[in-house]
Amino acid sequence: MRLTLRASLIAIVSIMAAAFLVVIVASDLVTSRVRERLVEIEQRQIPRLELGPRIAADFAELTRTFQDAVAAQDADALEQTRRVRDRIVARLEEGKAVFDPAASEELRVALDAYHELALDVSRRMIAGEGGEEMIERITRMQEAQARAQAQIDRVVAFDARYLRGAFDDARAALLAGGRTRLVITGTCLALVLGLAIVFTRGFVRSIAALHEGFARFGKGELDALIPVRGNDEIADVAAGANQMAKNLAELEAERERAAAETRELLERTREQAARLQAQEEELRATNEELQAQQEELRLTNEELSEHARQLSEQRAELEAKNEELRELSRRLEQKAAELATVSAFKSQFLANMSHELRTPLNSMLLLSQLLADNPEGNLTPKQVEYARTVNGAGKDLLFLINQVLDLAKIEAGRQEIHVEPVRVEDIVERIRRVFAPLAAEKGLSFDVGIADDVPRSITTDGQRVGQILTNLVGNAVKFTSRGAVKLAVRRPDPSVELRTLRRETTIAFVVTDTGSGIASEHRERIFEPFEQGGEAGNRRHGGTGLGLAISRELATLLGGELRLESTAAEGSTFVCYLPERCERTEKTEEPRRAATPAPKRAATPAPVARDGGAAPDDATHLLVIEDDPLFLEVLGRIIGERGLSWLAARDGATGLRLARERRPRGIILDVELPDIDGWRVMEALRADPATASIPVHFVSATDAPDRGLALGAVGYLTKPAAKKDLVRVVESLGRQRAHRVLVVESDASRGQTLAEQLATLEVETTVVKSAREALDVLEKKSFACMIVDLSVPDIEELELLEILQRRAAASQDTPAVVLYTDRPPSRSEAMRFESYASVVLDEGASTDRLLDEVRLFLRRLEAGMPRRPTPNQSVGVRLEGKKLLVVDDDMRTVYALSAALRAKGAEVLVAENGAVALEMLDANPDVDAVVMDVMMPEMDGYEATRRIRAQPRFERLPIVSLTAKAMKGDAERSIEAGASAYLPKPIDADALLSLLHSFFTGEEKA
Amino acid sequence: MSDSDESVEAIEVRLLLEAIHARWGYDFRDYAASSMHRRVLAALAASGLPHLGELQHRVLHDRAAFSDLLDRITVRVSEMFRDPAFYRALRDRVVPLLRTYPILRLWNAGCATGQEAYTTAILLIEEGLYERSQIYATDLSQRALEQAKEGVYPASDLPAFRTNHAGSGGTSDLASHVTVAYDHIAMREHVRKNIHFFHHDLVSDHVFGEMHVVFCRNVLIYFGRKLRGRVLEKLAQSLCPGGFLCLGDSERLGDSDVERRFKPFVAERAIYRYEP
Repeated sequence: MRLTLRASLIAIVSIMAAAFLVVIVASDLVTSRVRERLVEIEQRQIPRLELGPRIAADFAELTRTFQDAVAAQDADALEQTRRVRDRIVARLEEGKAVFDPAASEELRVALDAYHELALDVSRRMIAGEGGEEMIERITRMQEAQARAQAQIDRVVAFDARYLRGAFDDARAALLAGGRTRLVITGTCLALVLGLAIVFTRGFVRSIAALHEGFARFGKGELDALIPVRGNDEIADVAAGANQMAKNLAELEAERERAAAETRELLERTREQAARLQAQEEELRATNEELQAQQEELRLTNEELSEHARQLSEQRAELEAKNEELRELSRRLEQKAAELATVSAFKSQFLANMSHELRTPLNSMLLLSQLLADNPEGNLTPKQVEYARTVNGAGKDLLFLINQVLDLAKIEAGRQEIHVEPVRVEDIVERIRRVFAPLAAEKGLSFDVGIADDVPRSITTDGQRVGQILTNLVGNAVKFTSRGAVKLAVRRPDPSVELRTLRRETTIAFVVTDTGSGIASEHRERIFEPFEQGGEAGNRRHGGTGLGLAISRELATLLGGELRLESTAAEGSTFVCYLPERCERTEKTEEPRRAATPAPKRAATPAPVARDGGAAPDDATHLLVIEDDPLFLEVLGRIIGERGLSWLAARDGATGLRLARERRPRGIILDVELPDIDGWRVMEALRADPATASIPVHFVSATDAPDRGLALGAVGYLTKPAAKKDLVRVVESLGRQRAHRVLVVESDASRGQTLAEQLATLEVETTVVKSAREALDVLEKKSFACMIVDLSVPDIEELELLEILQRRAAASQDTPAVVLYTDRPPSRSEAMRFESYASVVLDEGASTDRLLDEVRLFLRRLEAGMPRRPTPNQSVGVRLEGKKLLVVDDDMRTVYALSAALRAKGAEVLVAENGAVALEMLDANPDVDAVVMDVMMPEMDGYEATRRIRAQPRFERLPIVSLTAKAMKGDAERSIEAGASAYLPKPIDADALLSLLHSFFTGEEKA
Repeated sequence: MSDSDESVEAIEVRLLLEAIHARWGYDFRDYAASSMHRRVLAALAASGLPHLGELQHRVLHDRAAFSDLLDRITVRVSEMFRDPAFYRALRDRVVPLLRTYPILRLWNAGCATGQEAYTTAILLIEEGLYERSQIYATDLSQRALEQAKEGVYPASDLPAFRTNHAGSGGTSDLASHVTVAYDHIAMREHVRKNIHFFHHDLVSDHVFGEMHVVFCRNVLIYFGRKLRGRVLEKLAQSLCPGGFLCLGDSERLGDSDVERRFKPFVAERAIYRYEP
């Protein structure tokens, strides 16, 4: 059987309980005996104590009743005595259990005897008997009475002894019980203790063994197992501990193995570390190498910078050379211009000459002809022959003169051509008619042919084509002594390379002869003026040598080209290629013209005004102060293309004079000028009130924009400049800049100062002294901007602001307002001002700020930006009579929204944060809708919305939430806070208006 | 690492950024690719996850994981009066103009843990302008904002704070602005009172007000070219004409259309002025 610890404990407890029970039972036994005694005392002695006196009293009553009856002589009363006697008997019966039965019986007998005798005696005494007998009777009766009395006394007598005995009995029982109890308790205790000792000794031994075992395990002696004794829980624990020790031992072994592995790993790591170290060394080496390379690089760098320095020197040299080149080109330009002038003079001269020569020649020809005709017949044939020679020579001279003039005209670009549709056949036929007889005269054949693929008609100057062909065919006939001359019209040969023409739209006029041909060395020269095909043939055939030159020029003029395609001794072939449609009239003329006039005029020292046409006023738009004629030419073209008029000044002094006299809209200024440099020109321009406001843009090869801008230039462009940049400069300067600024300033000197400062901003400033004046002026003129001094605001000034604010809200054309004050406005005032004006406090940098505000504003105007963002106006939305609360700390939004809402007839309240909004709602519970920004300091829109919604009276108040937040969940946050709808910033006023409209009309919002 | 590996990683980074955008609305797709790549990889390393796919899965399903990642990829250094020379320039050149405004709104875009906003506040207090100023300080990291709102920094920051403050031309006693206790410094109420911290993403969210000064220091450098242009456009819209844009010391504006609207005001300290 397994005696478990629990069972042992239960056993001990049970034994202890049993012992306890025994003790209790024993003591109960003892007490019960004592109780019996006490009960006996209570039941037997105490009633006796009570009944005795009662019986004694009854007996006394009996005796007295007899005596009373005798004394009263009442026989009937004697009957009473019977009742008393019965009562005594009854009491005796009652006390039967108490009294001693024998004594009780004796008493009853004695009582009966006394009663009999007393009854008899009493009767006799009542009957009056007496005598001896009587006395004897009485004596017997008294004896009986005494006996009864004694019997009563015996029965009744308090048996003290008996009572003491009873108590003594009880005490003895008590004492005896106590002793018994002690003995029993002691025995039980001894028993329990003994048992406990027996049990615990076993446990303690087992536990000590356990403890020792654990201590051993703790020390690591895992193989020292704990002896397992018995079959109890401790034994189980011991067994478990042993098992644990076994496991631990295994674990330990495992750990040992792991440690070994770790050591190995460590070893390996160490190796790797070593390798790493090696790598690091390498790296360091590489690093050093890199360092070295870096050094080298630095060296190279220095070399490079040396190179760079050299380069920059070279560049400087180049610059110098450039400058020289520029100078050279300038000179060349001048030469070219001079040449052009000379050429023009030549043309002019020749044109004049034609007249001057032709007039006398004309006379000469006429007269020589007259002579040769010899109408009067008075001249000898010889004289006639001379006259004819004179006439012939005159005709040659005239032809020569005409050709020279022609060439001059063409070269001067003054040859006019008349382009029209011409039939090819007509041209060819005219040539044939002229030259067929001549050829026939010389015995030459003359063939004319037109190919089938040649169009019937071409667009060109027919007369000039005829002139070319006459020349070519004339030459051919002239220089051919035998054989044939051919004129063919056809498409160009596929083998021919055309320079500019397209084969499909080109026609070739081919003149072929079988003459002497032209040596290759003369081929190019043959087209030069005064050249003929080789010296040999020279003079033999007469002629001017201008024909081919003219023909070639004419061909070029007609957009074609003239070529010689022949070899010497095989005859010549001249081909004139012409386009079917001549479009070259202007193009051929333009470059020639352009080459002459522009530089010439720019080169003139005197300024030249150029009216580019549609200038809205008489003023010159732009003044260019620049000494480089080439650059002037380019600028001039750009300016001209933009329909602006301009003046050029080639030196600073002229520029300044012109700026003063002509007040241009803008000035383009170079820095390097022949007399005073651009910087000084700029300073002088700014110093002169007449020119101070003219915007100046530098365009210069000097790279110093900072200096230029510091002097107050509007811009600085460095040469060489791209054309588009120049265009930008020209366009920005050429723009109308009649910005007007109104200054409302009661202090005259301050107003003057302000006006002077504003003059640097190229604006027209009007200074008025009061708001009333300002309103008058505003009626008459429109102003871009307005500066109001609020330092000493009077009622009118504030009214003026009110008016301006109202106008601005209605988006009328009101000037931008800059408020200037040395009295800082309150926060709410400032917020209100801010919604429609810029406020400048009179602090250290206030002038700068003031000018910045105006300048930036004007610039925005020029860039075409709106003064302030204005919302579009939704059509059909009406908000009349609605009271709206706009809550936002961004005054731009507030401005834009309130303007849009007011424009639709709504009354708009503005709060700058949630807290203010709540106050305003409290004061204005009749607000119809709230437009609430969510991001505000103090109290944000979510919180404010929540608090509004928390009030039952605003449960259904439409709240539109505005937010710049556009991330996931931002919209939901607004709605969760209680907003009725949500709009993202930047606000589309139209969307807001229609949203509000839908709230008020009950339409479902889209 | 071979080229193909690299490109796969780049694809994973791109997909992760797409996932973040689709799931949480934060748009990092147009951030400067190389820097974002590095940051994502660093975040991956810190997360202890084996690969980006795993990270993507976590980020898609777990908001806390996303917040962690957000912190990792947007972490920015910040200290009180960082770049004293900049604050000196602000004090000497910009503040005189700011004095002429009756109300001042300043926006600290990308405020991180708030030091810059408090710095601005202290500077404005010293210049007597704080009472009329409202500083809006925004960031896209909620955690950073929480810290910023607390305005409590380790006391070890204090020496640098002092040096920088002195270098910025600071005149007041720092002790009057901060409480030093328990190894920490805490901004006092009079410094904190006019700063409004809130969540705002420069990439996705819109302009919320017209500012006189915008601080956007060392933020644009993380953006790709296109995004940078877009954000600058927003900053431009946020400034009143003549307002100031303050960039990081090493940041410079180029000459795109939007950048040209900002004129160098203190060029060497990257303070620009908006002149539309």
